[in-house]
Parts: sequence; C-alpha cells; structure tokens
Amino acid sequence: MVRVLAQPVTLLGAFFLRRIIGLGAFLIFLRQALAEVCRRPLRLDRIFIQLEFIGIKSLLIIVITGFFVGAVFGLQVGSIFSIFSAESLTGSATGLALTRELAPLITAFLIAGRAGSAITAELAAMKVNEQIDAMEAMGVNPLSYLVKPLLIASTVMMPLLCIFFILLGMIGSYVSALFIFDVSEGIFREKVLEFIVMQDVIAGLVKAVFFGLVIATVACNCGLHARGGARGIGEATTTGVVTNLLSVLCLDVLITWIQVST
Amino acid sequence: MIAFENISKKFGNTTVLDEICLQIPKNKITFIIGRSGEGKSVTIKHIIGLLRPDSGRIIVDDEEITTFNTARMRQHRKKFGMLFQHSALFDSMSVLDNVIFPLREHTSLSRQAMRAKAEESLARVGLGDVLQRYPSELSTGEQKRTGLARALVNDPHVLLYDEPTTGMDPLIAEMIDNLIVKINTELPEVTSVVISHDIKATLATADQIIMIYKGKAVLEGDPATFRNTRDPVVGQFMAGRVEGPMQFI
Ligand SMILES: Nc1ncnc2c1ncn2[C@@H]1O[C@H](COP(=O)(O)OP(=O)(O)O)[C@@H](O)[C@H]1O
Ligand SMILES: [Mg+2]
Repeated sequence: MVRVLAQPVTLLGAFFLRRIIGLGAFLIFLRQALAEVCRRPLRLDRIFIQLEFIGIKSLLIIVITGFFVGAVFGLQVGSIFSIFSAESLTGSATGLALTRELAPLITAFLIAGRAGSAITAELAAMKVNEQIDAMEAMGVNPLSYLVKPLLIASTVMMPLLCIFFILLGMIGSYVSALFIFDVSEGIFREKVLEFIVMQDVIAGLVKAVFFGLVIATVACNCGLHARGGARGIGEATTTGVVTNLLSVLCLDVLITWIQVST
Repeated sequence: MIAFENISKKFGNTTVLDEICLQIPKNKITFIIGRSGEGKSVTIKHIIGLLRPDSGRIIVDDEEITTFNTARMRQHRKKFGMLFQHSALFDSMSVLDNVIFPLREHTSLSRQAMRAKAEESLARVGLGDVLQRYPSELSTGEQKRTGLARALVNDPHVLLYDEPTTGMDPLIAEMIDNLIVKINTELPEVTSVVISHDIKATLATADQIIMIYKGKAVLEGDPATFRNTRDPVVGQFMAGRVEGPMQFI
C-alpha cells in the first residue's frame, strides 16, 4: 500500500531531479561555450558560414510566417474592435502584440525547428561517428571550432530576423485593416506611430537576443551528448527541439515578467 | 616511452581494462594485438586522453598525463597523430580540407604551403587524385588512407594507428605496412603504435608486440618471444585456431 502511494512521488522526484541535473549540465556547458567566445582565435570565416545558415536561409520562412501572422492577427483584432467601432486601432494592437511577444516567440520557434534541429542532428552525427573525438585528438576544441560560431551567429541573427518578422507582420495587418475593415492609410499609420514606442521594439529584441543564445546552446549541447548510432541521432534531435521549445517558453515568461515589473 | 600502470576502465558494468600494465618503448614500432572487442581501441584512446581511466596512472615521456586538465591535455595531444578505426573524417569537408585541417589549426603556414604539405601527405598514402572528393564518395580503404594522411601531415612524434590495414586489398595493405616502417626509419624520433589483426605483418614489422586478453596484457615482447611462446592463449591467437583456451562466444 505504502509502496503504491510512494511510487508516483518517487517518479515525480526522479523526473524533477533529472531536470535539475540537466539544467546544471546545461549551465556548465553554456559557461564553457561563452568562455570560448571570448577566447582567440575569432574564427570569422566559420561565423559567416553560420550567419548565412541561420540567417539568410531562414529569411523566407520568417517573411512568409510574419506576413500571415500579422494578417490573421489583424483580422481577429479588427473583428473584435469593430464591435465598438475601434477598427482604426487594429494596426497598433497588432503592432504591440508583434513587437513585444509574437515576433520574438514565433521567430524563436521557427529557428529552433529549422536551424536548431539541423545543428543537433549534424553535431550528433559527428559525435557518434567519432568526428568529435578526431577533432579532440588533433588538439582542437570542438567548443571553439563548432559551438562558438553557432552561438555568435544565432545570437546576432535572431534579433535581425525578429525585425523582419515585425515588418512583414505590420504589412500583413495593414492589408487586413485596409481591405477588410476600410481603415484609411493615414489613420493606420498615425495610430501605429502613436501607440508603439521604441521601448516596445527594444523589449522584443532583448527577448530575441536571449532566445538566440539559448537555442544554439541547447541545440549544440544535445548534439554533442548524443550516443549510439542512427537512433541516437534521432533521439538527440527530438530532445533538442523539445527542450528548445520549452526553454524558450520558460525564458519568455521570465523575461516578460522582469520587463513588466520594471 | 609510454607506460600504463594498473589502468582500469569500465563502461557501465563491463570491465574493459582490468589493472592493465604495459610499456611502449620510444622510437620503436609497437603492435597491439587481441580479439576484437578486447579493448585495443580503448587502450590507445587512453594514450591521448580521449578516455580517462577509472584508476591507475599513464606516463608519457616522464609526465603523468592522467593528472592533466582539459587544456593541458589538448596541448599534449598536439604531438600525436591518430588514425581512427573508422577513419572519422569530417564529412562536411573535402579530402584536401580534411588533411589541411590540423595545419590550419596549429601552424601559421601560407595557404599554398599548407596545400603543398597536404598534397605531399596524400601522395605518400597513394592518394593523388581524389583531393576534391568528399569522404562519402570514397571507398573504405581510401577513407582510411585519407585518415592516415591527416594523421601524418603535422609531423607528429607519436603515431597511433587503429587497424590501418583492415578492409584494404593486399597490395594497399602491404603499401601501408611499408609506409609505417618507412616513417619510423626515416624519422628515428617517431614512436609508432599499431593495432592490427594481421599476424604475419605484425611479426614482420613489429619491434615490440603486446597482446591484450581479458583486460590484461598477457604477453609483451619482440616477435621472437611471440613465435616461441608456450602460452596457450597467445599460441592459439597466433595460429588462428578456433579450438583452445580462448573462448569465442
Ligand atoms: N564509449 C564507449 N562506451 C561504452 N562501451 C564502449 C565504449 N568504447 C568501447 N566500449 C566497449 O569496450 C569494449 C572494447 O572496445 P574496443 O576497444 O573498441 O575493442 P577493440 O579491441 O576491437 O578495438 C567493447 O566491448 C565496447 O563495446
Ligand atoms: Mg578497435
């Protein structure tokens, strides 16, 4: 009887213990990677390759998603606001939601799915095929050669992609407001500029910077700790993406909480 | 000189090395033999600190490397060249870039000088015409030779070859065996450690042979010692007999 009652508690305890150990290991990894960022060599060529991989190659999906999220959000907000004849505020409401929350969050999700999964899979394959060992055997630190350029590129690119998301989202909501709710162009622009201040944009970009750092770190950490063969690569990739989505959500709550309470 | 003093290594519940003691003389060619899965790869990975022992000491050139931290260990590894059992080439890089990699990381040569050195190293292993190909486009033998060229390119003091001739045709295998001897005679300060299954080549090329069995070094000595041994396990392995004290499950 006692055993039956104790079991869920044990399982729950084990679950949280594993999470806490995982978080500890992640923080150690993050610290080592950041130390490497400050150390020579700079590896500019590697950084540019990763900037292209994470940034340029993700642009299309960001642009498309941004436009549709902005348009749909505009439709939803507009149809609610029209109940009390406030359609003219569609743009500012969409803009606030985009800059402060939607753009950084959805960009992070897209990058975690697109670039994060690829990073984890590649590093995991390198790990199980002993390429990471080979690099170590040649006296080269994989944190410096592989992880550092990814960390830098992801942290730099995320806010830039976020800006694109906001811009395209605004165009989307502009289209909704103008064609569905007959808001005039002048009013739309005036209300957007009246309600959205630089601070809103900065609040969103700060989030994006942290999301970028976390996504690359989690993706690398999961990849470099893969074990086993093809199956291990698959498992590492799944764990990497899921961990990334959850980490981004937790971090989002934390940063938002700090931002609204100061 | 490389010495293992009572090195033990476990993976989970399986003991791979069990208080093993062995000595690898300087400037000689030492062969490590044993059944597959006996811990030969694990042994040479300990020499460059890719694996750390559970207990015991490893001494390389009068330094106890088992006490080194990660940064010091990376420094230590620069005097080694290692050929991995499964080549472990970087599959995102061409053959040439794979061989240039250690040069780019550890020397300040010009691009042309690096390229020339890499091409020279590839020519030594008989690969002059696959420079721009990717590892996935090579045969196993060619991959291994690329790995060998990469191990040799930085003029290391200690060369670790993990099954350099396994999976190669007899001519290439002979060429690689000759290359190992040639490198050791041309550069007398080089120490070579070779893992092999080829008993004939081992007896012909080795200065020193170590046989690993059940986590211990059952016999260490020159080829003559191995030819004249009365140890039943070693005798069985050398003769390639299935019947004997050594069990194949
Ligand atoms: N990283 C590792 N994790 C778990 N087990 C390992 C690892 N490396 C080697 N082993 C195990 O150690 C034993 C010896 O392996 P190895 O040294 O590769 O054999 P070989 O003598 O054929 O080179 C094998 O049973 C292998 O499964
Ligand atoms: Mg092996």
